[in-house]
Amino acid sequence: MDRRDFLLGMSAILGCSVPSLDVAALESALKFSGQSTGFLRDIELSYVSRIADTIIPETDTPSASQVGVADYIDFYLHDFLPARQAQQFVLGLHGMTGSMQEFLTLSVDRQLAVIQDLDDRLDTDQENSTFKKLKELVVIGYYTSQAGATQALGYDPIPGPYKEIKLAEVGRAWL
Amino acid sequence: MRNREFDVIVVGSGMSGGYAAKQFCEKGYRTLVLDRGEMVKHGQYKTEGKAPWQMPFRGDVPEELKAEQYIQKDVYIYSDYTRHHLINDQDHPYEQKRPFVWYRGSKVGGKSLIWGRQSYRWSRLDFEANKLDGNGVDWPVRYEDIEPWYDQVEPFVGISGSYEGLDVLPDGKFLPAQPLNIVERDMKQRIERAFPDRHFIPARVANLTQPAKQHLELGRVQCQARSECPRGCSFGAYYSSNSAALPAAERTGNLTLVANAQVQEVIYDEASGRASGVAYVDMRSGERKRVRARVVFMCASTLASVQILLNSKSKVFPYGIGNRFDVLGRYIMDHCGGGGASGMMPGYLGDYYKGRRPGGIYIPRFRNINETHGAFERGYGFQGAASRASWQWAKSAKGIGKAFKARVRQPGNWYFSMWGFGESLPKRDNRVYLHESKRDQWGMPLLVMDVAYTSNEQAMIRDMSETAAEMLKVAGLVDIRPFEGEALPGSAIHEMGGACMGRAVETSYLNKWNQCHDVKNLFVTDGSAFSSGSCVNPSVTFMAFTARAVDFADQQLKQGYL
Repeated sequence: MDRRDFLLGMSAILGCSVPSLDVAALESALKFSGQSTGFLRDIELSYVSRIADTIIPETDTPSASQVGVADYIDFYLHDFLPARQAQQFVLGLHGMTGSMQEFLTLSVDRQLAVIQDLDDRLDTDQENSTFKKLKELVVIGYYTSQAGATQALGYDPIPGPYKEIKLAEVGRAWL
Repeated sequence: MRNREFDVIVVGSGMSGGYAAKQFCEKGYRTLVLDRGEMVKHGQYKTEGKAPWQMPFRGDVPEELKAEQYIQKDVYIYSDYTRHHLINDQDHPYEQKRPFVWYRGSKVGGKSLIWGRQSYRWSRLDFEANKLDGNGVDWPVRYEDIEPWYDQVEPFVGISGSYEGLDVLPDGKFLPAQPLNIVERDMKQRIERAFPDRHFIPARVANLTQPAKQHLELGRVQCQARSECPRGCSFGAYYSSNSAALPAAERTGNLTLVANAQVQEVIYDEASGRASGVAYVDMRSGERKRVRARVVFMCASTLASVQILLNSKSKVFPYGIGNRFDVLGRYIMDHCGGGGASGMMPGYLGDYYKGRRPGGIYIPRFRNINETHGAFERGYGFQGAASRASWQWAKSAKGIGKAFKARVRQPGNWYFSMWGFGESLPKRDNRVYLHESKRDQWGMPLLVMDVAYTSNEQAMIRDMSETAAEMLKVAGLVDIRPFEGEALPGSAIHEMGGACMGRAVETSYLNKWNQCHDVKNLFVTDGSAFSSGSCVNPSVTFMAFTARAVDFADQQLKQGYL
């Protein structure tokens, strides 16, 4: 059921018309295309994807890269951050674990160890600020993506009245 | 528009103006509403229902856009979903002689589109406060004068609440209350047992828990617990001028609404001693217009109404219409805040909820009622809520891999947070005035803010913080974090005062009917009319005074006095 059908159905369920509901206006708003802007080069996209998947791997729900987190980060750097900050971030990426090429050829276990070390150093004197920012972007990019929000978490756009339930009834956190 | 086409001009279409328009239109008066904002029709809310992945920045706002809203960017609801409902600060500057944050709506409907919807009656104590402690000007009205008008306004707005029988927070005409959750119910028991004079009750909010006939007739239906209110709600499930008062006015056929109209001046007619109408600028064409009516209602929001009145200069009133005694712009108030506490409630991990509730809990004022608190006068109430942490914590937390992902998938612990809203004292020196030379691009003189809190507010905020922590401890919370932030005047978005009601023209601007002492067909019924601030959210009281003033004006018109 798409949103239009849902809203029209909703007015039927509620037993009254919703005359003011301008469905066209609701549908006409912009939609983020989810395509790469080309700001990050291929090697950088691969590097970000690999690290994103180390943080959020595939389980019974998709991994970070499978939901397009690398493209989200590319878009964020290109369209959201001021250019200077975006360039600094990319510089930071290149210095984070040494050569990107080299990192990508490591075994998955070795990659995990490298990222684990960066993660362990969060909130300490040895914190890597690029990793801190990257992790934040991976988490936001994943859990606010359609798959992250609806599969990893619970997404309930029109819940109806607030009510108490047992956690077991949904088994996961709401977006 | 031809001259004399209208009986009434209402300036502003927010909480007060929307309701004034409805009442006048329903009484048969040809009513012109002028609003500075852009038009937004109910239902045409461009970010409503959008999921985060449908927003380019997932709800965040880039720096260059924040720069256009350098004041508004700090409003608690500010995001890419809501920023178009807030004013562009670069286009609408003001001067801060002392720091003041001025949050403003940018659309027809004003702040009624984005308000917090907490709706409480004022009490007997509130209307007597100035008289009792000598601050400010004594109100020319008491609770009994306003009570019937709350009775009229509340059912139209649609306010959910519980009946508590408290003197300090009178009950109203309520729809069923929003439920407390299990953690809040247990906290309520423990806090009320430990402190018999403190009451932990469901927040009273203008969200329809059970719509009545008059709501359904306007297409307003039950709250769906989306918690997207400030984006606008096609369900009409929370009250706004756009969803309720303006459509109700429109269906009478008596409403004319002009958007993008910046009213600059109320015109004084020396011959009759009355206001003859208003002058405004069409903000898109720059064209200047004058329009006449028998009655003018100022509902432009507290500070904007004062700004327009100060700018309404004539030979008789060189310092602003009706302002012979330098009363206009004085006694500016906001609720002081920034004090509170949060903590974690252990356990309850099998309990959860569905939906995003539009209001949490409220603890009505308990200070300076039966006993005297030594450090400050008047009091404060708390708003708060208990909920479980969701994924957001993971942004800055340690952990990677499958275990991390599994942990994020589960809701976290229960947290409870509460923060105070305190009554600031009306002080004559807390004032606003017009800048002598600076004007905005439409030619309106800028407002200068000269308002500051005193030691009374500072002591109150400290007490909020200590008291909140004490209550959370009693309620069984751990990891309690009191906070005592600096909240500048304006930041509670409850500006009041500036055109205060009172008994004498020498000390107040309005009489007990919200009528300008010196100009009988000029009424001011937004927050600027308020002689004191209470500690409860003011919107529904703006509306009650508006309803009462419209009724009075109607009688005066019928009797030929206006």
